[in-house]
Amino acid sequence: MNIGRRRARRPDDWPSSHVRARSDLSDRLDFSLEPDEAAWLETHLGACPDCRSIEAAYAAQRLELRALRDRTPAPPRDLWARTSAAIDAESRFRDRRGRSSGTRPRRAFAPPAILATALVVAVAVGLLTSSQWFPGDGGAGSSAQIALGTAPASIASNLVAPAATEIPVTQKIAYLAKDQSGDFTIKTKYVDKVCPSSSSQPCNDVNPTVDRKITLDQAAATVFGSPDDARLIVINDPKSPNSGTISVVPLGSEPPPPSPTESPTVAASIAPSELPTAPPTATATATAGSTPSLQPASPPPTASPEPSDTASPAPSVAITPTPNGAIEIANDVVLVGQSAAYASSGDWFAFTARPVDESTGPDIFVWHVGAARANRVTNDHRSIFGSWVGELIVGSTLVDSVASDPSAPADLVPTSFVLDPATDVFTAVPQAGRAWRPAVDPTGRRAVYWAGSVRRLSSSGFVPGAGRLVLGDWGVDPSPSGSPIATSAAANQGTARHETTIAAGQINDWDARWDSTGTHIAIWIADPHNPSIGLLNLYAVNSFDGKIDLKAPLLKDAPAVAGYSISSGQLVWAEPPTDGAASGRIQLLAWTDEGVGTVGTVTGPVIVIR
Amino acid sequence: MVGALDTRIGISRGFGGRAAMSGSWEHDAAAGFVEELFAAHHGEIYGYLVRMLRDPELAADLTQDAFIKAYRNYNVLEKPENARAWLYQIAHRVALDHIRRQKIIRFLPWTGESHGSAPSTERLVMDAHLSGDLQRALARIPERQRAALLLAELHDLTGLELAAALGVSHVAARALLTRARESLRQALAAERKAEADAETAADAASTAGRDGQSGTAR
Repeated sequence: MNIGRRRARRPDDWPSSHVRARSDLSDRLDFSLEPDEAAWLETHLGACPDCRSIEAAYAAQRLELRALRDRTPAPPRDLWARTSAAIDAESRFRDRRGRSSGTRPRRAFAPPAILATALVVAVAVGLLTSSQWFPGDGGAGSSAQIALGTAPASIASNLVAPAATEIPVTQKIAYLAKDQSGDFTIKTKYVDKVCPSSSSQPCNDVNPTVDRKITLDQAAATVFGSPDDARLIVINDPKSPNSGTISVVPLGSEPPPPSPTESPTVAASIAPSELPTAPPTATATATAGSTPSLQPASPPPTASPEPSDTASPAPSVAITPTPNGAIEIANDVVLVGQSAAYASSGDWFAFTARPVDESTGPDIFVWHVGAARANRVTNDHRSIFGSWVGELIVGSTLVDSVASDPSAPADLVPTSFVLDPATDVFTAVPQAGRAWRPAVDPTGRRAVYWAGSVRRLSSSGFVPGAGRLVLGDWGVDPSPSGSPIATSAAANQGTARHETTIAAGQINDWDARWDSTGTHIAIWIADPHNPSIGLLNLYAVNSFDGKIDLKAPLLKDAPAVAGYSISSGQLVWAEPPTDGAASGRIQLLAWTDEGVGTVGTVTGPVIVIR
Repeated sequence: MVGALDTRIGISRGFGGRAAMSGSWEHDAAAGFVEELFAAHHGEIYGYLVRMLRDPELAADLTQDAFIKAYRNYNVLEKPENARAWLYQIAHRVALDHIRRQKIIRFLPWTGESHGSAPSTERLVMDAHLSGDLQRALARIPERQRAALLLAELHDLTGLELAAALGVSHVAARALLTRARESLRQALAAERKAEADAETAADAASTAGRDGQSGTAR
């Protein structure tokens, strides 16, 4: 087997000569070692009986594994019939979807991708308000500088990488540009090289962009792109006259939006006044499925995420497709937090929102591709979407605790849950301890979360209280047995969950996102005085123990506007404006087997994007 | 398989470059593409999923799921020659998604209703059919390592194909394979030791029983 060459490791790279020998023995099964390495191995084997036994074990293991080929079970005879029928059903569903809105689909057909590129295009999360980003729309650029306190350091100083020459990459970014007349253009740029920190010259990408005009609401401020590039989800600036609207804008051959006259009553409401409220005495038990009660260590909880069925379907919300084919999937809401995201399949999009009028706190909403409206899937007004694991939502809610001084406002205790949007089955996970807004890695093993209490900021908002932003164990013990972790909040959570403190102190907001492989984690922490900007760090995750080395970030404290994107091998963010400039640059950091590098790609009034 | 693949490659690409084609044509092309893929590879994909999950019925369901995903995303594949690795990649992700979902559900010890916690009849049959210390050892190692070993040793995926199927770089795939071999070696050793201990205990019990019977006879 030709697997390719790893970077040649120096002898002192290895923890021991035996580890080196084991690696060589494994490699040697697949290809010839370099002559020097082969000679070293033979010498080592000559002096190491244990290593010789390992060599024999690997060889025997291979023979035993290959012997299993003769015992391959035969697939069921009706497998093609089942598969073919399922494909036909999907095709019919898709055809129907083009004609009517239908009810909220279950695992509905997702339109084929428009891009054939192998690049993962986790799209743009541009959380820039137009007043902060576009000149003439409020001119808040200078406020960003003031709030940040210091001028952004150069990328080279933020980037921690040892390489010395340009690093070839094959990455792609896309962003929204707004011209002086207010028209938007999707610009796509292919980047073929990045520069390591040691580069003496500024590294700017000069490749041309592929442009495509798009009609968007002038108030568009936050943009999420679907993994298949089939659509944008556009959220308007909450300060604009058209605030509170979340729209889906199809790109390419997206089927037409549902007709407002065909099935308006199936639309899910997100208007708070149209939804039932949580029972005042409800516990933190979610009962949509075979769900147990959630029992915090102390006092009975008072909040309860309710299943979506209590919130939908809602009566008569008009569906209003616009001339550009956009449909409004939510109205009169404000996005809460930074964690909105598509599921990796691209079939679902989840976000947290609260009513514009702040009449209630945040709840989690889910939109399925093809659906007319987003569904509110919690109803306790204190739930926040954390992340996806596969097609399951991981979220958190808050329960009341008893203060020692009854007259003092009590902190709230976070607790997490898992929700299947396809079935509405809700599952509490108190074993996670005090974990607020967990961003779980794609393997479900580790998560970034707030380990501590939460304070009520107002009638509709919450901020971290006492505690720390940590990286800790999530669902499953990484040991081969895969046994569940049975840590409770009562135990020493920090030790039991192997928590690494990322930040502590006054933290009002953050955005933690994993790359698609779970090998890198980017963490943006908002400036306490201006939540639209903050500092961005990127860490490689140790594949053996799931930990990060805080002292060796791949990107350190890079000033960044809220809303970045991370996908396979790349991180894209926008610098805040500096020195009176209308806007900063969009930066791309890419990592490959050859190193880590970055490149500045564009300046001007743009909404971030990847 | 070539026909549909060649047709599919003709689809224009790029951001916003989705092919302008009717839904029926698209369905026909995708369905034809998947049918050819299925004919060529469904047996090995099913075999891979059976070994990953040790549940034939579940493996059949997920094989079906994998081909449906291939149908949905048929125009993502750029090179027909990569179709096999691409299909394995889909199957691998489907399997891991299922395993992760089960782990999250298993994370709830008090419910007693963990989906899949009770082995199905088919799984018991499969365990009997494929029993042995090797199968048990394979089940003990982390699933990504298990996947790497199965794909490399049983399904003959080459280096770049293996990396593509696992969704990692070729260097990472190679490192994963190294760790997998070591994990399996240790797991096999543990299995065989446990087996030997059990046999020793059984022999001792049997001997004691015979001695007891002899004593009674005397």
